[in-house]
Parts: sequence; structure tokens; C-alpha cells
Amino acid sequence: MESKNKVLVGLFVGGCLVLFGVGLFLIGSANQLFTKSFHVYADFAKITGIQNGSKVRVAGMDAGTVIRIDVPPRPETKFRVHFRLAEKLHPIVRADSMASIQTDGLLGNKYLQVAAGTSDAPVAAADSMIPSTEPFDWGDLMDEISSAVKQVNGVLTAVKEQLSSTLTEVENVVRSVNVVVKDATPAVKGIVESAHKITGSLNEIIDGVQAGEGTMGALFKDKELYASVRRSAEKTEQTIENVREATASVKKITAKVDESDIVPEVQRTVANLQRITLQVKDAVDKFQSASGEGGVGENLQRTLADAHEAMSDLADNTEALKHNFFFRGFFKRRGFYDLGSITTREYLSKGFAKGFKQHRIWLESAELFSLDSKGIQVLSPAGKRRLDEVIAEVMTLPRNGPLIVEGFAGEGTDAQRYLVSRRRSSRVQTYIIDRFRLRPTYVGIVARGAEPVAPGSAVNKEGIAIVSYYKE
Amino acid sequence: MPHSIASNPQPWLSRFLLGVEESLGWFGGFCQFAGLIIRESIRRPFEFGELLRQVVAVGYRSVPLIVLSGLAVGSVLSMHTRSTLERFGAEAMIPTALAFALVKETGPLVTGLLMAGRVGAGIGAELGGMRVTEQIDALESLAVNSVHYLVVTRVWACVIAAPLLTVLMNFSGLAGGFLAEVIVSGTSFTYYLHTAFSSLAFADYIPPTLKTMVFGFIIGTMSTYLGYNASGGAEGVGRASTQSVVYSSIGLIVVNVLLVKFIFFLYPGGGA
Amino acid sequence: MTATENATPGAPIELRAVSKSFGPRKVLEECSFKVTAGTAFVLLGRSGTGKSVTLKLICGLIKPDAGAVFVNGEDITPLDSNALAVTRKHLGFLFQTAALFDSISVGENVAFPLRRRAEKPDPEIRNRAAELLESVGLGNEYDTMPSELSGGMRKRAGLARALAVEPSILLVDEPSAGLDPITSSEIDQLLLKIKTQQKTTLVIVTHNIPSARRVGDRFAFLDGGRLLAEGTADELTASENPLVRDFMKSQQAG
Ligand SMILES: Nc1ncnc2c1ncn2[C@@H]1O[C@H](COP(=O)(O)OP(=O)(O)O)[C@@H](O)[C@H]1O
Ligand SMILES: [Mg+2]
Repeated sequence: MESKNKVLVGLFVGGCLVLFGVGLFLIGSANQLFTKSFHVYADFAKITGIQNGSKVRVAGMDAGTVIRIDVPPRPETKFRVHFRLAEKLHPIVRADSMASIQTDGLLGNKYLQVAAGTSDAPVAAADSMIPSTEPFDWGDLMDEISSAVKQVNGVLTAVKEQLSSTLTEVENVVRSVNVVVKDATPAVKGIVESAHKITGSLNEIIDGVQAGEGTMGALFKDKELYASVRRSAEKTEQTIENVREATASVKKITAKVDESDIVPEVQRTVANLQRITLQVKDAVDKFQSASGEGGVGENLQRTLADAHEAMSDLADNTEALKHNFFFRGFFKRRGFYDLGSITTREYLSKGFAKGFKQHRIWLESAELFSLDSKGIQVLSPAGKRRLDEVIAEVMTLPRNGPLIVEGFAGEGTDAQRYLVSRRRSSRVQTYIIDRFRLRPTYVGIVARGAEPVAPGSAVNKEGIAIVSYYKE
Repeated sequence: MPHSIASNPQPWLSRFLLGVEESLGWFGGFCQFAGLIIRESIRRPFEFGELLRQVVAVGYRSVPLIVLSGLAVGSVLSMHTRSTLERFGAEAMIPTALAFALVKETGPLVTGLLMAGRVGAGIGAELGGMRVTEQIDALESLAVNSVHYLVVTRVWACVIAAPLLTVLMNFSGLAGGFLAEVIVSGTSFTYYLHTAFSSLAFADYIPPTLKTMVFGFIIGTMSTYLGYNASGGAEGVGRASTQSVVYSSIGLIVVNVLLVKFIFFLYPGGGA
Repeated sequence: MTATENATPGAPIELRAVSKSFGPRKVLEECSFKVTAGTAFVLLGRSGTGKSVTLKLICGLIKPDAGAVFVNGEDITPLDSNALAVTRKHLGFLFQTAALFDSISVGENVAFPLRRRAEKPDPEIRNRAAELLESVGLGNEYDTMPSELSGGMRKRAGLARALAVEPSILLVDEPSAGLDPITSSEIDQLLLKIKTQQKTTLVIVTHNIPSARRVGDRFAFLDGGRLLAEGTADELTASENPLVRDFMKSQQAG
């Protein structure tokens, strides 16, 4: 009786224990417990739910489990995640294999992903550290972005305010000029009046004022006016610094992959600012040439040129954002063209503006630019007139494609050629956008650097080409 | 004491208080009995022969019930899982989902309830019968500690059998799930088993299986308590038997909630 | 308070002012008696007066509400099951209902206490159990299950089990109930034999007066929770109490 019971109990207990063991074995082998393995570790500031026993995959293949997590003793220290990897995968786990925390499909389990390394790097040693990337945390990124964007917005608002106050100053100057001019000689009055007739714009007024040198000189002797313009310039300078900082932030954001509604906002603000600085710059250009010798005008102009450049950086970075995987669709939907940052290679590829007709106008550098007192190439009045003519001609074509300003420069190093050609096209771009109220997103620049005038020629092209793409 | 309560002017209140007092007294007796079982468990000599006999009665003889129920539960769960997962095109997850459901909760709980039914009723009736026919007295008169001999062995048989039957239930359930699945998709059993266990961690497998030892203890203690203290002839035996099932089931379900919390506390996230 | 007092020497069984109630029902009230070693004490009384309860008190299966029960010189009232087991090793109990273990055979019932002591190898235990069954006239029933036995046969099997450990104290609850007169007297002979040969102290509950007279040395009549009378058979037959007298006589006639 008892011996029979022993057999039955043995059968029952043994059978069930074997089944239990089968379960243990299956789980163990799914966790790579029974394969030869080696240990490595990686540091994370945040482990987002990884725990002992979490799966580890090498290039997507189940490779082991997390065996221990050292909790940092101080907030600044990171969590150290120790894990086991199957020995057979050791050859592809290199010292530069990147560990990251990922989420598994349906059940949403967290697991550790280890990327295969590069063959240049040595095989990851046992018990060594491999590099890691912090888990992507949507919330954190949003925080970072919105604070950066807030900063940008704050800076930009400040710039705008200060620039507009600068503008007001300038306007005031012009108004005083007008008053002065009215009381001046009838000849001057006539010029001013004719200028008024040509256009009501601020620039033309100032153009007209250029004639009365004596009056301008008197104007700049006004100490109070001088001081106020000076103050504006300083403020602007300080603001530019801020813009630079903001630009750095934007760069950082762009490096990451994310989305925010504020991005187009930033871009709009940048565009506005660009226009404002351009206008201010133009106005100051006039003063510059009016006052002759280097003084307030030049000072202000340089500041504003810097401002414009800084702003372009910001614009570039914002532009980069548009190319970002996440935003591309977003910007496309809103009709943004990528002309702002089209690369020369892209531009010259067959794919660009396929199906469009091309109207090309060549302009020699000498026709357009003159050197200012500092030796910087600026658009000469004659150049501007020439551009006006050219654009007037372009405007007769249908405006349903991009307008590209190609820049060419043949002297100096490659970098200099590139920069000069870029500056030339950029100067023209800003002028025509402003002058003809073109949509900035439809006018692109391409710095083409050096190119021989004819195939095989030793002489390089110097100048710009305005290329209008259109469809009949 | 009951006298003072009974003299309460509100009859329903006094009846209620008497009920509460009675229940508390009953529960106190139960806890005392559980304590006695634990104390007697460590006293030598162990009743090894009787324990074997009880493991056969409680465990071995429950195998057909557990296997059949497991097959049924597994196939039904699998079919339901399929209809849900199909919508997401996630049929490949069926073994995993079934294993999760079975191993973590369904297996232990269904096994516990089945044991409460089969084993609880059996022990309640057996000990109840022995009590009213003076067999327990006879045992005592023969210098045998009846708690040590009858109760402790049965409780331990339940504690031993419960996790083993749970394992059996889990595998029968997976087999049932496989049978339901093989008709539809013709998968292989080894692949099925591997997928089923691939997403499980030891913390998903071992604690829920071992927690059924607590279920076994509750079933054993409850039914021996009711049977051992039965009175009132054949009717009393019947009462002890049905109450064993009812109270063990309730106890088991309540304790399960606490155990799930406790296991979650020990292995946070182990229950992803 | 009685626990500190000592038992009467030479009396392996003594009840001292024992009271026992079941709920509102008072079964024993300050009941006292003692049984001298090697004698047979016969407990008489109408049904439901507490005779079986008295036996269970002696065995320690029931705890008295008050008073002390001395068995072999020790007050067993405060003892738990494990301590009682020591006393019970020297004690045999034939229950009114026989109380055979119905999950094992008749022979194994008798062998059960022997196996518990595990003093002998298995074949010897079986032989001894068969011998005991033979002595109560159940030689052929070793492998029969208890449920297949008649009431009288169960009683005899129960007696065989109680005798298995050769107790120094034997409690017998209505041994001849349901037995034919011949078997009944055979049982009496058996009881007499163990009393005289093994010097076993007997406490017998019975309604069979002739049988009681054959075996018993002293008699007590239980009624209303007390011993109405105690003494030899003749003393009780001559009792002033009409109830006791009638009881002795009516049974004598029947
Ligand atoms: N375990 C018990 N619970 C409640 N009442 C009991 C119990 N045992 C005996 N009694 C009661 O005690 C009284 C005496 O019973 P008992 O000793 O069996 O009578 P008898 O003298 O016929 O053997 C009876 O009224 C019986 O109902
Ligand atoms: Mg009786």
C-alpha cells in the first residue's frame, strides 16, 4: 500500500517537476542563460524601465539579459547597467558599439539595444564599458525645445524692438532732414520734390538728400542725435550676441529629431528680422555715403551687417530643421521650398526644377559692385539700376518657378572663391527680394565658386547669373 | 458578553453585532487552528506514510481533472486571444499572450479553485465524517495526535500538490492552446512552446507558481478546520464539505489579490 | 485548584468533583469516584445520563468544566494531545459506536495501534492482529472493510483494537449492545480474563446487568449528573433508591 503510494507520488511529483524544469529551461534559454556569454556594461542617466532580466539585443538579435543595475550614489552620476551577451555575438560587439534603450512592439517591454560596431574598432573587451545614447524622451526634448525657442523668441523680440527703435531714430533723422531741406535752397528743394515724385519710399528720400552735403554735415554735428544713434548701435550689438547664443540653441535642437509648432514661428520671426535689418542697413548705407568719412554711419552699418550674418546663421539652422526627417512633411505641406539652403551639388543635379524652362541673365561683377571705403564689395547705384532692369525683364516671364541667383568668383583659394561667390549672390538676392517684394522662399542662391568663362579657358567667371525657372 | 449585546434595545443591531461577534470568533478559531498546524508541522516524527497517501489523494488523483480543465481553458483562451490579436495582425503573439495569461494568473487561480472544489470538499467531508463517527476520538485514544496525523498531512499534501498541479495546468493549457492553434495555423509544438516562454522572465514564472502553495495552505487549513470541528451528524458533514469549498474559494481569491500585490512589490515590473 | 492535589494511591482512575455541560445542558455535576487497580468498575444509568461522556473524560477526549481527572496518578485535565498520548499508551477504549477507521480493513484497524508503536516487524503485527480478531470471534474478517460488518461485529473488532496494545486501563462502552447472548458471554469471559491475567483496570458502561455482575467488582449508578449510588452489586440491589433498585432488578429479570 505504502510502496504503491510512493510510486504514485514519485510519478506525480517527478512528472510535474520535470514540466516545471522544462518551463525554467525554455525561459532560461530565451534569456540566453545557457549559452556561453560575456559581460559588458553601459552608463545611462535614465534607464526608463530597464530592469534586471530585461532583454538585450545585438543588432536586433536576442543576445542576453540585463544582470545588474548599479544605482548612482549621486545625482550627477549615471546608472550603470551590466548585461550579459552571447559569446557568439562577441565579434560584432565592438568598443564603439552603441547601447540604447528601446521599446519592444506590442507589449511595450523595454529592452537594451546594442548596435553592431565598426570593424575599425577593437572587439569590446569582457567587463568593459561600451558607449551609450540616452533613451529618447519625448517630454524632455519638448521641454528643451520650448525653453530654447522661448529664449530665441525673447531675443528676437528684443532685437525687433531695438531695431525698430533704431528705425524710428532713423526716421526721425529723415524727418529733421526734410525740415532742414525745406528751409534750404530751392535747388535742393527741387531735388527732394523730384525724388518724392519718383517714389514715396524712405530710401529715395535719402537718395535725394545725398545732394545737400552741407546740410548733412550740420546734421551730424547735432550731439544729441549722434548719441542716440550711437546708443541704438550699441544695443543692437548686444542683441546680436544674444542672437548668436540663440543660434547655438537652435543648432542643438536641430541636431535632435523633433517637432514643435514654434518652429515656423521662429522662421517667420527670423524672416521679419532679416527684412528689418536689411531695411535698416540700407537706410544706414545712405547715411554712410552721405556722411562720407567713417563715423556713426559706418559703425552702425558694420553692426547691422553682423546682425544680418548672425540672422542668416539662425535662418540656416532653422532651414536645417526643415530638412529634418520629422519636419520635412510639415514644411512641404505649407509650401516651403528648400531654396534657402540648396547645395550646389543639388542645384546642378538633373533632378532640380525638372520640367521647368530656364531664362538666364549674366551680370559681370564690375557692372554691379563697387568697393566701399572699407574695401567691401557692395552694390553700386549703377549696379542696382542694372539689377532693376534685369528683374523687370524677368518679371515679364511667368512667375511659377524658383528664381536662382548664381554667384561666381575666380580669385583666391577655394574657400575665398566660395565665400565671395556666395556673398555676391547673397547681396543680389537681398536686394531684389527687398526691392521687388519677392517671397524670400522663392529666391535661392547658389555659390558656384570658380568656373572658366569658356571650357578650357584660364580665365574664371566673375559675377552673378540670375536664372528664372518657369512653366509656360 | 453576548448577553450584554443581546440586551441592546435595537433587535436588528444586536443581531448584527452577534453575527459579527460569531464571525470574529470563528475567524479567531481558524487562525488558532492555522497556528496549531504550523506548530505541529515541525514536530517529529513526520507522518510520512500518511503524507504520501494524502499527496496521492490530493495531487495524483486530481491529475485528470486538472489536465482536462487545462486543455479546455487553454483552447478557449487561445481562441479568444486569436480573435482579438487577429485584428492587429498579431497572431504570432498568441502563444506569448496565452503563456502570460496562464502562467501569471489563470493557471494558478483556476488550479486553486479546482482544488478548492475537489480537494476541499473531499477533506471537509472526510474529516467531518471521521469527527461525527468518533474516528478522530478513536485515533486520539490510540495515542495519536489527530492534528499531527490527519490535519498536518492533508495541509502539506495541499501545499505540495498545488504548485505541481499548477505546472500541470499551465502546460495542459498551453497544449490546449496549441491544439486550438494547430487547426488554424499548423504550427509546431516545439516552436509553440518556445514562443510561449520566450517573453516570460523567471519572475513571471516562479513566483506565481509558488504562490499557489499559499492557496494550498488555505484550502488545506480551511477544509481541515471545518471538517475537524464538524458536528451534527450527516448533515454536519455535508455542511463542512460545502463550506470547505465556499470558504476556501473566497479565502483563495482574497489572498490572491494580496499575493499579486506582494509579488509585484517584490518584483516590480516583473509583471510587465 | 484540584490540580495541585495528589491522586489517591492505588487508584489508576479518579474523578474528583468533575462538572461538564454542553451549552445549557448540564451532564455531570461535581461527580467523583475512583477505580481501584485491577478491578472492574461498572457504570450504570439510563440513556443520555453521561456515561459515555464520563469515559471520554477519563480518556481526555473531553475536558471537564471543573474538577480533576486523575489517570495513573496524573491530573490529565491540563494536558494537550501530545502529553495525553503518553497516558493513552496504557489505555484502551472501546467506543459505543466502535469508531472503526472505515478507510482501512478490519484487520488493519486492529493492527493500526501496533504499527504506530512499530515495535515489531510487519508479519508479526499481522499475526498479532489476526490473533486478536480470533479472540473476539472475527478470525475470518481480517480483510473485510468495516462498512461490511454488522453492528455487533464492529463492536468486537473495536474491542480487539482496544486490546491490541495490552492496556493497563480499558474503557468499554456498551460491549454487549447488539450482541447475541452467547457472543455476549464470550466477550464477558474475555474481559474477565484480561482483568485477572493482565491485572487490567476496567471501566465498563453497560445496560446488561447479568453481564455486569459476571465481570464487575464495583457498581455506580449515574443520574442527574451525580452518582446516585456506588458499591457492590448486592449493595446496589439493596439500595434505598427505588430507581437504582428497579434498574438492577428489571435488568436482572430481562
Ligand atoms: N460532544 C457533545 N456535544 C454536545 N452534547 C453532548 C456531546 N456528547 C454528549 N452530549 C450530551 O451529553 C449527554 C450525555 O451523553 P452520553 O454520555 O452519550 O449519554 P449515555 O449515558 O447514554 O452514554 C447527552 O444528552 C448528549 O446529548
Ligand atoms: Mg453512551
